[in-house]
Amino acid sequence: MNLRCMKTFNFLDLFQGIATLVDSDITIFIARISLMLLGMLLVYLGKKGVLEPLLMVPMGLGMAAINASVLFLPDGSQGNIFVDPLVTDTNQLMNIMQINWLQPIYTFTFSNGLIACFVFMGIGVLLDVGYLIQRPFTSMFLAFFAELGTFATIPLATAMGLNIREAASIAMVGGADGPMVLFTSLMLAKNIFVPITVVAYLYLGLTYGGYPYLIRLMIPKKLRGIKMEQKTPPKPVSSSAKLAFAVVMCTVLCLLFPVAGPLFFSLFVGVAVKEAGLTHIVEFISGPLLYGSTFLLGLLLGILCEAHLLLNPKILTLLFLGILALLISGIGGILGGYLLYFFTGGKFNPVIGIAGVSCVPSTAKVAQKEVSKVNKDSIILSYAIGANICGVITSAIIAGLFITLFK
Amino acid sequence: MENIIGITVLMFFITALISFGVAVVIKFIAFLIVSQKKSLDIKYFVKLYRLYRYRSIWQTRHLRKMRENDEFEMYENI
Repeated sequence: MNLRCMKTFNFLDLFQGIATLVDSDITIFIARISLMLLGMLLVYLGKKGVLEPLLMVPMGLGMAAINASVLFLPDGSQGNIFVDPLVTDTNQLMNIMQINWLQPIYTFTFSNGLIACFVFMGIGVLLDVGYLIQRPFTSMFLAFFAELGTFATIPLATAMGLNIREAASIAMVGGADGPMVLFTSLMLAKNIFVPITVVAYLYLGLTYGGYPYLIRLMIPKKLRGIKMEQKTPPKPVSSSAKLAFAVVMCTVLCLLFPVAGPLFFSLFVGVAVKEAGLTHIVEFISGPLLYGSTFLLGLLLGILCEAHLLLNPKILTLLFLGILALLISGIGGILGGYLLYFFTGGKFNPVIGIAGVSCVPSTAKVAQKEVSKVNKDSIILSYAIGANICGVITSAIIAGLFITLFK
Repeated sequence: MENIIGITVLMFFITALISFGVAVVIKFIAFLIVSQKKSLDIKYFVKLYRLYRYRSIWQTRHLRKMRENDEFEMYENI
């Protein structure tokens, strides 16, 4: 009896991950192996601090795990028991939710943009809008120039065969704001929102590592060390002013772009609770909510990097356009910085321009780091954070504009 | 393609306009609250309340005057 069992026993049935790998065609085989290795690399780079560890560690591990744990489903097809992002039928979704462990989180938080709003609330709580209120015109000017990549990418993307909605979604990567890209692509291009979001978050991690080289390439050492001098010290901004700012801005922007209302509301409610002194809520949003959402976002993004899903024919185009958008936005920000340098007669440090790219607070930190390397006495962080916050607001305005025009 | 470039340029200018508008609103809030803090002080509301009270006192006086002049009867007749 035992011997007969041994005869019919197939070794690969025991290790289905390997069996599906052997069974799949060569493209999927290579893609799965590459994504497993890429996942491991992301974890390593996250640990080393080259990329943002908060996002890259869960994302990298998720990417490696999902591509390793492909199995044969009862209907004979290959799949996983993590999540099925393409399910649309309600009955099917109810069945899958009882099997796939991450499906409830994906369905109830990711695919409806809720997690993006949670992250935005967290960002709102972390922002100090005082820097923005002190210098609104300078900050807005820089933030506007740092959106150059967003606008330049749309015609390029359409020329490369994407329709206007898909083009607008991938162009949002130029704003360098992850939740915004997720929200916009969900609204405009649901068919490719997974690859767009994955591309966006992968590249956002790269801004931390790539933008310093762009700064060094475009700005000579002498200009990088310019010390920002103020004739009069800026007036301290009271919490009432910041609260009034949050309330007025939220209402005005919601009035202008109701479709992006959830984003505006989430950002400004974070600012409002902080400035209203609601300590317990601030602690909740900036702690468990923000970190929990970021962790789950990273995990889901990693899980969504399954070879079958990423072998979308448009992925190469998206990869190219994403990096192009970020690059042009960085160049645009620095150009804005140069313009202010010339307007002020050489008193403005052009490095601050890169902080207009709204990757809060990474680009502001990158700007200060690069300046400190040349001149330790030059403190530009307050200017950089102002431009950074304006970058978030400008990105949200553009998201609202895109969704309103193209939906 | 020309259409797309046109739309993009249009969106660029709309964004510039809104960004400028946002900056103006921020400056206005800063001006209103940071520089002119006293104007939004509680005293302002006290003044408003006093004005309201003066109005009621004036109304009472006016009504009394009307009563004295028998103006009410005139209204009743109407």
